[in-house]
This record gives sequence, C-alpha cells and structure tokens, in this order.
Amino acid sequence: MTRHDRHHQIQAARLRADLSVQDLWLAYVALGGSGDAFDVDGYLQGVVSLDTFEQDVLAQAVNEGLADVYRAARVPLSTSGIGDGAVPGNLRAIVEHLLEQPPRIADARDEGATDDPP
Amino acid sequence: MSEPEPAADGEATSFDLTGALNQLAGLVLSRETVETALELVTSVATTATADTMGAGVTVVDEQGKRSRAASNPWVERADALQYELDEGPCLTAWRSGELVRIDDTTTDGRFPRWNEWAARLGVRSVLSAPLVAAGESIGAMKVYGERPSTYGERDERVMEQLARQAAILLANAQSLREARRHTRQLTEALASRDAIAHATGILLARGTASPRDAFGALAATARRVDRTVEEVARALVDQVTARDADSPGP
Repeated sequence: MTRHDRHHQIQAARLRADLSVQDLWLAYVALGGSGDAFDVDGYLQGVVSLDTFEQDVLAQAVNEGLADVYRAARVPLSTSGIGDGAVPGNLRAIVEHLLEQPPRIADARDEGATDDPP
Repeated sequence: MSEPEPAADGEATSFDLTGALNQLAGLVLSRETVETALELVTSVATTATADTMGAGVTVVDEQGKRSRAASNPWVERADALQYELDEGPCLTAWRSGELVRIDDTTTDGRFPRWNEWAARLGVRSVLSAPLVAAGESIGAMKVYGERPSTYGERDERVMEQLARQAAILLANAQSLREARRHTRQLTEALASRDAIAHATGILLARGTASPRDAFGALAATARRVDRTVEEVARALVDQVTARDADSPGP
C-alpha cells in the first residue's frame, strides 16, 4: 500500500458511504481534522497532499461513515441482543484499560484499516 | 357594471396579479418556512386562475427531498400518481422547464396513464408551470380544472409570472432551511471535536507522547468495540469525571 493511492481508497469509500465531500469534511473536522474543505477536496482528487495524521483522521471519518451504512443495513436476529455489536460494559472495560495503560510512545500501529481490498 | 371577466386584454381588471406578486415578494423570509411558503404559493395560484378547483406545488431541495402542498386531498392524489406512474404534466414541466397545458385529459395523448386516472378523479384541465430559480428547475406548480379547456393564454401568462416569483421565494426558503441545517451540523461537529480534545488531554496527562498517539489510541479502541471515536472519547471523559466525583475532595 503506497501513500500515493490512499486518496483513491478514501474517495471510493466516500462514494460507498454516500457522503458528499462537504459531509466528509464536516465529519473529519468533528474528529479533530484541521484541513479546510478545499484541502480535503483537493486531497481526494489527488492534487493536494495531506500529512499522514490528517489522512488518518480522514480515513477514520470515512470508515465511520461506512460503518453507519453497514449498521443501517444489518438484519436483526430473532434472538434480540445477539449480533448488535459491542455491549456497553465492553466499552467501559476497554476505556478503563486505556486509562490505566495509556500508550506512551508512538508504537508501530497495525495497518488494520488497509487490509481490506477497496 | 360589466362582468369582471375581460375579453383578453385586461391585465389589471380580472385579477390583481400585481397584488399577488407583491404578496409573494414581500414575505419576511426569516420567519417563513418552506411549508408556509408552499401553502401561500398554492393559495395564490388557486385564486389567480379562473375556474380552478385545486392547486398544488412541489419542490425538491439539494438533498433530493420533496416537499409539497396541495389545496385539497384529491390534488394530492393526482400529484402522487404522477410520481407513482412517473409521467404527468408537472414532471414534464419540471424536467423540460416549460409550461405544460392539458385542455382535456380524456383526449390528450401525451400522458395516457396519468390522464386516465386524473379524469377519474374529475380533473379535465391542467396547467403546470416549472419553478426555475437561478437557472435550475426546483419543482413545479399546477392548477386543475374540472371542465375541459379551462385555461387559455392569459392563464399561461399569469402562471408564468407567478411561477417566477414563487421560485425565488421557495429557493430562498430552501436556502434558509439549508443554512439552519448546516449550522446545526457545525455545532454538532464542534461538540464532538471538544469531546475528542478533552479525551486527548486526559491521555496526554497520563503520559501519552503526543496528540497523534492519543488519537491513534482512541481510534484503535473505537475499532475494537465497533464504536465511533467520539463515543469512545465521551466514555473516557465520563469515566474520569465519575471517578473524580467518587474520590474525596481536598
């Protein structure tokens, strides 16, 4: 995965998530992104470069958009509660863990987000 | 005193078109919603054309959301049928940007299926004008008559002028609604950003090296529990606040 075609992936995911560039930019700003709408638009078109962190924030924003689409399309099982994803206790526990052992230095983060084919 | 209906020349006598146009132009937009604007346009269209038994307006906004108003239930039915059948005078007016007039739904061959239904509903004459604002077709307004050949050239001119004003009014009302929507979205985005900034601050205070690493940790956590970064950030802030509330103060 080269950095060069990451914008293609994000652009493809944006279309799949049915987000306008404006919507995606807003979601990215909501996550702490600091580029303006023209930066994001330009990056998606491959004419503006964003630094790696801004790209990560943008990728997270589009991934959350995709998750919304998939969540809305999920079919509930007849046994309620199963298959609804994470239970609230789970979030508490993992946040607790995060607070107890916050990551201190930049570790080689897994490239989980890029495993899936576009 | 003669009948109020003039031969063909009377622009001013039969109907106060200027008054109606002023009414449309003079609305205080900040207080009007798309819905009230639609209702007003519908009622003006009904009174502006002779022998009209029902009128309706349909507009579509940037999101493709349709809003409409109708002077009575069967106008609504006749409108709905156009979308169900995907044919009819208003759809054509809308798509072509040109006025469409039907003199008799029982003989007009352009919209066979819709005409048949319309005739059953008691509609014989139709006049539909496109609503064009800033060069873009945003919808259509129409009047229905129960007798054949209800509408003539004078009605066409009246509808064209009304549609021109109505399009400006409705486009403005839509812009206002859009602006409100954007403001709300922006406020929500800022609230999310705040929560993430707080969570980042907490992690930094606990030894995380940089805001980037803090974001990475929040994003990784979100992925593990299938939540959004905002939800994780809020949970983290809540947990810390709850803990501080439990611990005895100084």
